[in-house]
Amino acid sequence: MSALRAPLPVFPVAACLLFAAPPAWAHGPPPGIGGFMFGLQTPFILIEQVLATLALGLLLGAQPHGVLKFAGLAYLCALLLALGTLEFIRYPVRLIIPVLSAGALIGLWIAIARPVPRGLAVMIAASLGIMIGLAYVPPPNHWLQIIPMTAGAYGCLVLLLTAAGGVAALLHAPRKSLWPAVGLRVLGSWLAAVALFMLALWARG
Amino acid sequence: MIVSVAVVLIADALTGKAALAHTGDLNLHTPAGGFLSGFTHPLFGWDHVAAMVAVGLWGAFLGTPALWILPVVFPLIMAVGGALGVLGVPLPAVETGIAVSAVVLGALIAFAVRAPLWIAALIVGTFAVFHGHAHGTELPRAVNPAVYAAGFVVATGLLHLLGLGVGLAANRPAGAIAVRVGGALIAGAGIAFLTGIL
Repeated sequence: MSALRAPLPVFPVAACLLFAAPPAWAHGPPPGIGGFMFGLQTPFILIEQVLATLALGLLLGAQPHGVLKFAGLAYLCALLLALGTLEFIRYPVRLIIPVLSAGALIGLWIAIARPVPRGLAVMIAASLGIMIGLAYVPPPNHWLQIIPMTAGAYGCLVLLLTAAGGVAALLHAPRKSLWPAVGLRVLGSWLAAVALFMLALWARG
Repeated sequence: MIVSVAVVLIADALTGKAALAHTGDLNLHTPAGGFLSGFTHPLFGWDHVAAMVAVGLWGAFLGTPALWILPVVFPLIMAVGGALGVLGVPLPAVETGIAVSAVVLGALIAFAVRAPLWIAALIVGTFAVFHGHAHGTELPRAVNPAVYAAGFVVATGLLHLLGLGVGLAANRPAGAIAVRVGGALIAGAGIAFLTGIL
């Protein structure tokens, strides 16, 4: 404790930091998990999927536990189900307009802060999961390449959904202050606005 | 002690010597550059800044539910305006509309106008179209549109938040006067934008 309370030699430390060698942050993936790491980054290339997943997470996080549980499971199952189409479509299908439209509508729903009936929440989550999952139908490679990449991509999507859901649950929790709930509505409107703008850009071509 | 730590942290932050994992400067072709381009677009236009802060101020002045409805309505309608701009749909007198938004919103605060909620939303939404159109038409070709849109939406929202935060001072007697003076200043700035003084 005494060390923590000791006065810090401010200017020498600041000067040292100013002239210190910069940290090197360039890490390659550990050997053997390159495919997983690549998969983990893939959703960030398909930005509409990040947007829609965040919107879904925010929507579900603000719902009662029963709705959250069923809709979350529906999303995860739908993602896996999309893999089942591998035999039929063979190649990834990127559904930009439907995913963006879903993201915009979900964002609007968050902004108006109305409860979602459980059946509707499950349907929204499942259809979004299928639409997003179709983009990860792996090309015909060896399964040793397919599994880590797909697992990475799904892992990223689940993390995004969970993180957004957690934020929404925190903001939505009953409090005296009005601000957290306002923040959640504003976040929803931001996501809807970005999705609408992206749709317009897509329409322009 | 706190000051000491703050000085050290600021010095560290200002050094800007970190070696990032990705090469390339922060140009418009990178996602970070695109986000920064969108983020700074509302911030570098004083007319945008004045109007955005005014939206937050007026929302705080009107209280619940305008407090959250105005900052929610604005980005949504702004996106529609942005879409019109991107699609090349012409909108007359965009810059004038932006300057008028600062004048009108500033005057509404200065005169402590308590408009009904739907009228407040209509006024704010109408002006949001002009702001969005400007963001849409000035989208640089090189920029990743998604991160550019995210940038200008987030910057706009943060300006609203700034206005809301300052506007909360209106709950106190002296604060209410300060907020009204702030509104008058925004209206004055708007007139200066209109007449070309600023």
